Amino acid sequence: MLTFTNAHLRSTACLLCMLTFVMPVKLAAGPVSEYQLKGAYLLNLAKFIDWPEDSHAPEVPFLFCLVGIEQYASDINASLKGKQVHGRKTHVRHLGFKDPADDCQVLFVGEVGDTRLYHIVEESRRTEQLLIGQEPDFLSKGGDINFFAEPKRLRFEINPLSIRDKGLDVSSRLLSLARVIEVPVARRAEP
Amino acid sequence: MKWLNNLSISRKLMLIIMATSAAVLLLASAAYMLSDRVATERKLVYLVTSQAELVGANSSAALAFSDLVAAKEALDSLNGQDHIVSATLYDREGKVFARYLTEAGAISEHPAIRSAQVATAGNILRVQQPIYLDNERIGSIVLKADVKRLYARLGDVTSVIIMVLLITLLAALAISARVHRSVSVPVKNLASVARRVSKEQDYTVRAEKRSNDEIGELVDGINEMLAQIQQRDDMLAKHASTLEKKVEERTDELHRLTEQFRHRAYHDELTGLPNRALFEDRLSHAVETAHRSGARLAVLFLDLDRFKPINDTLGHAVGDKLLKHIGDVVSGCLRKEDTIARLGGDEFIVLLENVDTTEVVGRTAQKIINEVQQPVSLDGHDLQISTSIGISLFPDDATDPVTLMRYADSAMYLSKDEGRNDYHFHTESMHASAMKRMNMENDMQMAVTHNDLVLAYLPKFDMNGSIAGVEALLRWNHPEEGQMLPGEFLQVADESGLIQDMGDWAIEASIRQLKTWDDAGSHVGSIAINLTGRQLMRPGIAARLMQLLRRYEIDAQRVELEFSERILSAGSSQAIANLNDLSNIGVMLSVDDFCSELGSMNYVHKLPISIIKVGRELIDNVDTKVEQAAIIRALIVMAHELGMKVVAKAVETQTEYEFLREAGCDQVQGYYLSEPIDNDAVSALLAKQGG
Repeated sequence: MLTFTNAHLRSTACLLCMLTFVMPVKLAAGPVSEYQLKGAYLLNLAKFIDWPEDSHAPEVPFLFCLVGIEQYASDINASLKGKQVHGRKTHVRHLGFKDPADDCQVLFVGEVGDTRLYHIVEESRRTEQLLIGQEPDFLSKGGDINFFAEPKRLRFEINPLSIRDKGLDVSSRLLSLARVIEVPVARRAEP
Repeated sequence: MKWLNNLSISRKLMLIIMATSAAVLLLASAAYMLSDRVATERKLVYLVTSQAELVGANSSAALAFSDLVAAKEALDSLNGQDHIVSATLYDREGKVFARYLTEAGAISEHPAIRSAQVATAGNILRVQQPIYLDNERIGSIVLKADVKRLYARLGDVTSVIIMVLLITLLAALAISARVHRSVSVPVKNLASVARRVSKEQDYTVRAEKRSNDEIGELVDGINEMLAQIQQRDDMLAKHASTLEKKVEERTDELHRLTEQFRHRAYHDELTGLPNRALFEDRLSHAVETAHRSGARLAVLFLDLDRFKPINDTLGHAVGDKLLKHIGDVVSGCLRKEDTIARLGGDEFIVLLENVDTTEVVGRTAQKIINEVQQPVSLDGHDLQISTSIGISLFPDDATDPVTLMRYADSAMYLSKDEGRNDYHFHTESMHASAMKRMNMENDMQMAVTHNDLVLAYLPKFDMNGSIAGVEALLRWNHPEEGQMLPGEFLQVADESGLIQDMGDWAIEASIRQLKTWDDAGSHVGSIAINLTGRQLMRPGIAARLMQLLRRYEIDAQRVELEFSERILSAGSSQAIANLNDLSNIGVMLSVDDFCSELGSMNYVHKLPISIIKVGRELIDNVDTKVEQAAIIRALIVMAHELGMKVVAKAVETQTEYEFLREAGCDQVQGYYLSEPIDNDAVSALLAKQGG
């Protein structure tokens, strides 16, 4: 068995190893990249979250928005392209600095810095938008779901309180899979 | 099935009820068990399917995020479910993602059932359930359950059903025991009634009707049948008793009739006395007894004197009463052991048993004679009659009954001959005369057949002396005794019945002679023939005479038939009819010895009589006896007045002849004129007169 020094590498290797016989994602042959896996996770996470019935019409695409991870956008896009969530076609959009995010159903946040994250969280809190991140303390900073790596596998943690606060509903089955961290939604001081 | 036929009805009923209820119960149980099984199976499928759905749903996130640990956790939630032998999660591609396995689940599954959503193989139920996420099939779950364990969990109803079955069968047994009695008890009752009827022959027995079903109908039917049999039985008994009664009555009647006939056979109907048959029987018996004991018997033969005129003049009724009276009178003169019998007519016979001496017999006979002649009044007539008795003695005269009776009979004739009203004992000389008489009978029989009979002719003269005709007189030229006159043999001939043949012979001979004379040219005017009483009593005399007249071509008016006045006094209707017939064919009828009997005047004008003949009694010494002369004159006047001729018989003197001629008598005959002569002499006499 190979030993990874880098956390990302390790998790990627593990995922690769798992996906070869577990993941039903259409990845054809060949290794699956970390962000391809994360893209698949995004899709599945969105499926375990219930949005209010009347939030969007079916013809409106289900919008996955990316911030601070431009370099992996193509991998993520590869995992989400042509899929459906809650009966709507998926669409991936990369947001620039000034781009509004209020019509995104899922906002995946990469390396953005604390200040921008603060604004993103604040803005997200006013919408029915699932906020997903991949850095430690993302939940305490106001995120809804956060990826974290464990040996051999990619895992996620969830703050159900913040999700419900937005009027969304999270499946208990998803919760049973996740590390649940309940961070009360409070007005926090700017960093 | 023969054993079934031999079972009693109650057993059959029980068997039927038990079999039926068992069959019904088994069917119902089977149906219930089947439906229970189906329901259980459905329940099983539902249960396992729900579990598959639940576990599948619970595994969806694990499957979606390829979380093997979470998937295992979800599958491990089946741990408490004993029946689940395995649970397998398959991914989108159908590859095994996670598996939960018990020992029992390590069974290779058949490929055929792999595709089915629900399938069973042996005891294993396999349920496959797809797992969806957001309407996308992300994998599937397959649960395998051990059906047996499930059944055990769901509860096996079989034992309950068997329990219920047994209880129900017991209940059916109890019910059938009660129910079959409602059928078998009445049937048994019926059978016992039938047995009782046939055993005791008692048709009054009736079966009790307890129900209104078919058995009730059967009871009614049998009772009805019994009623009819009883009715017939009664009728039969009644008929039998009636028949018996009738047979008894008939038997009694028969006995009575037999007794009556026996009595009649042995008794005289008129007097009730024993008849000849019984008397002969008793006499035989007495003779036998006397033979042994040496006792003496007497037979008394009684004949009433002049009974016939009484019968004739006063009628049979009076005569019969007189005979009964005589029977009583004679019986009264006898001892208890003596027997009196009536032989017929006016003849009685008496048997005296154990008589010591002839004097005793004589005294009894005399006593009878005395008693009989006591006057008696019958139907207003004062009657007096006498009897003549002949007596024979055993063993003095004869030792056999027949001879004893014959001797008594002949002794009675002696009494008659010697003046009547007297008794005579049998004597040897009487025996001799009786023998002679018997011989004469035999000879007489020969005479008729051997032509020993001849006719003599007594000429009859008109008062001018010419021959008017002849009277034919019978003569018997006996081979030993010489020529015999009618007085010597007529009585014997009459008694033996030969007189019939003799009379017929005389008639034909007379007519034939008349023809002979005619043919010879000697004219004999008429011929007079004497008829006996028996001849006149026999029917058909006129027809027979007519035949003879035709055969010999003789005019009927030339034949005179003379008969005795006594015949007429008997008043026989046959005789009167014969006389009328004879008169009708034209023959002359002549009454002989007119006025010799009383009552001649009664009938003389009523019968077709042409001639009356006056006998010797009136003519004898008519010239000296004034009364006789007066009677003759009156007779002649009367006869002429009635259109009859008067012929005087037995004229023997000239004075008699003169008187008769003077008195107007029509014709005379007698020795004074001519004695009887033969046929040639008649011809000669005629020739002399005519010459």
